[in-house]
Amino acid sequence: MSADILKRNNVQVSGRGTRPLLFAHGFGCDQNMWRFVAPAFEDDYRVVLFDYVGSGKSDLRAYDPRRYSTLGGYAQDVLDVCRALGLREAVFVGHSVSGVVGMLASIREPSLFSRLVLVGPSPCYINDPPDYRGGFERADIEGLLELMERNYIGWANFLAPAVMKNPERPELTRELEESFCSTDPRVARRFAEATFLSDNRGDLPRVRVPSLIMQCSEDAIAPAEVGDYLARHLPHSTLRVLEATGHCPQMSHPEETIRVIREYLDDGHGD
Amino acid sequence: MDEMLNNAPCGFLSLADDGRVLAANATLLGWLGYEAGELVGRHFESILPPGGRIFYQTHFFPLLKLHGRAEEVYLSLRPRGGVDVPVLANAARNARDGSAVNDCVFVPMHQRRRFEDELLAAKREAEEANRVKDELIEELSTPVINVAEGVLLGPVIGSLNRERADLLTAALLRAVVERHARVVILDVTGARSMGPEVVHHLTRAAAAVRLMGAECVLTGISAGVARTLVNVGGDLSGITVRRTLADGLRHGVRAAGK
Repeated sequence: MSADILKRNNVQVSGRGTRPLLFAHGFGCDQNMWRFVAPAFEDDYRVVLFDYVGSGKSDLRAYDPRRYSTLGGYAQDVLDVCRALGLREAVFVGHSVSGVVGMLASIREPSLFSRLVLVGPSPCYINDPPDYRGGFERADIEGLLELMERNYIGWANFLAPAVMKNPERPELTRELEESFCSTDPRVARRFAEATFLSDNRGDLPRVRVPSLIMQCSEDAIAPAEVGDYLARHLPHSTLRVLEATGHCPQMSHPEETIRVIREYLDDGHGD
Repeated sequence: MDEMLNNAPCGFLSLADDGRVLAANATLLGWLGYEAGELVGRHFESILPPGGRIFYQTHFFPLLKLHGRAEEVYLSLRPRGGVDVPVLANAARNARDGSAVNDCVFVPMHQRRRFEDELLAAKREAEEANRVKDELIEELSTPVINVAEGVLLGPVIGSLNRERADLLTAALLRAVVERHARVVILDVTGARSMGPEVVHHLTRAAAAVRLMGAECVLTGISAGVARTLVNVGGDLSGITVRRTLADGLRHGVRAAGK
């Protein structure tokens, strides 16, 4: 069972420490997103990387459309991985939508987590006037879905089935990986909908595990006021505004990302 | 910027890793309605529609950063005024003046986009037609007919796999409840082939029907099915068996009338 999960979610464990540190990727890519950050923690932590089912090198045969049409299904992946490795009091580092996924997982099983590190999180991407500005209108998300559909029209429609049918031909998989990180257009679309159309503001007060909110400057996906909103509504949270701009500081500004995570965990927060 | 690149028949942008525009050629500025030098220092996202900004951050930039290049990516560029320009983008990471820059080339694709619109529409139509067909087949493959007062007939025609056996069971049970049936005739005269697993499922369906308080009558068992039944040790106790559908119908009408 646990071996199945490790394979299903393409779980990679490294590091020389004992405290578990789990990195969760966001929408659009896979564990490679952490390539510039994860190695820095290997001296002190047991570093765990994984792909959500449907992303990266996960087992697509385990993809259940119903389960993965809500973020709760992704939270279950996190819990499955924790259980398969016997992790307890893990530090969970989640990028973008994985911030909410980590929160949901911690609400279900608080004892599995000691700290949540949320990189560019947002509890709700859609504006809800007059009191909440997530940054997007529903039509904007439609625009994203259309863009994705058009980008998949060229190759993924033809390649993805070929990959699934030809596990003995790894070069096809490789080709796909180099094109995009997601493998199947329907999977990517459902992930996008689960990510950008969810509203998890109501879950925030239920999070008991202490958290670090890493808010980027000039982040078009998770704007500053969303970070402020989270800081106000998430119990036991600490807000850090990064100099890093954009939405992927772990790729654009890995040094600062590493430093801020480390400061939070070393500051008596990581025990 | 080199004069040839500045006026080349494609848009050119050079981006820093944080998305700031380092250089833009005249062709691109012309499309988007900006003056020379005006885009430099701004964020690339300022010329993308909101959905495109998400795509840039979640797909385009990670792809470039991780693989050093991105090819044939569809994007929409938003001009200062007017309609978005659909473009195909190629990008590559290059080192210049000691730091990494992301050079992007854009080619407008108005015509091709219309063609793709048609392709997408055709694809959606085909998917919808397929869905309707699947539904119809599902409905046709598990008909449950009211043949007399309190008597239902579930004819099994063609080959039966596990999936269909499950559907049939569900349809039968639903019908027993909805139509207050007292007898259910499962006729396998027209069944082409049934493996041990399916026979097993059918006997379970029959057991479920009995649990709902109706009598189950099995008719039209061929020699092959009989052999499979014996081989898998299918439990037929409590199930009435009649050789032909006609026998089964007579029995059913009588039993329901009691």
